[in-house]
Amino acid sequence: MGRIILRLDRVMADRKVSLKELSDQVGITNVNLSKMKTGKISAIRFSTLEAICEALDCQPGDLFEYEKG
Amino acid sequence: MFIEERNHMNKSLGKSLEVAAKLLKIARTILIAGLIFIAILFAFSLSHSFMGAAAASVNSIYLGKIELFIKPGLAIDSAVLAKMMPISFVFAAALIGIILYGVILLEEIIKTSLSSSPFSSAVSRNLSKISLLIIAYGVLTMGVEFYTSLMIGKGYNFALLFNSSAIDGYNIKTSFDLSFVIFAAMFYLLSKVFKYGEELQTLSDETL
Repeated sequence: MGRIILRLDRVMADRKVSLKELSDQVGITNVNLSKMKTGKISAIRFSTLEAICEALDCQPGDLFEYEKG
Repeated sequence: MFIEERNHMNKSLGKSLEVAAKLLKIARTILIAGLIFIAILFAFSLSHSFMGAAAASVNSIYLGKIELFIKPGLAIDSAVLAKMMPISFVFAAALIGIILYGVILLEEIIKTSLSSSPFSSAVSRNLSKISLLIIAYGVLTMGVEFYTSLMIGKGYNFALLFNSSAIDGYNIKTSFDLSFVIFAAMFYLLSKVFKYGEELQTLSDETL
């Protein structure tokens, strides 16, 4: 069984957005964003995804990758 | 939005829990005072002269709602009562101790609920412990009931007390109330519900 990997760090690096800046724009704490970067979350709400895509000017597909198991 | 909803929920829950915490603190203080008092009584009870005097002051017995006053030195065996009373204090201390531990567990539950979430492993674990405490309390109460009947049977001379052609005999009734098993089962099931809640809480916390 494969897994979904969050490529938030790559998109943040491309847009040159820091963790703190993204945290302020999205309204999620640094700690939680850090958890997202390191893949320590099990689910993400659409509202959170919308806020991240708005802040990073990207598509949801840019943030996720599927890795076959 | 979700963070705001959770803050609102915590405020209303928090207020009730804080009131409960204050009441439990008062209960804990009273129980500790009671335990110290029983310990002092037990210490005194080890002195034969004190217990002799205490047992000699027993001059009545309750038959339901009737209090029978007995003439000193007749139908009451003060020596037997003096020997058996210290164990009553041990029983009393054990019962108070169990209730005190239950109060401490409830205080921990409230503390955890206020600091993090009611759906945590500490809360479900403490609820499970409370169910065991209820069983212990129930069993100990049965022991107290049995010992009280024994003390009454040995300490009073009923043949002399009820020496009347109108009375055919007597029986010291020892009854056991098993309702504590139901309450223990309730708390055990509640601990399982909170355990499930803990799993849902973890899932919710891992959702951003």
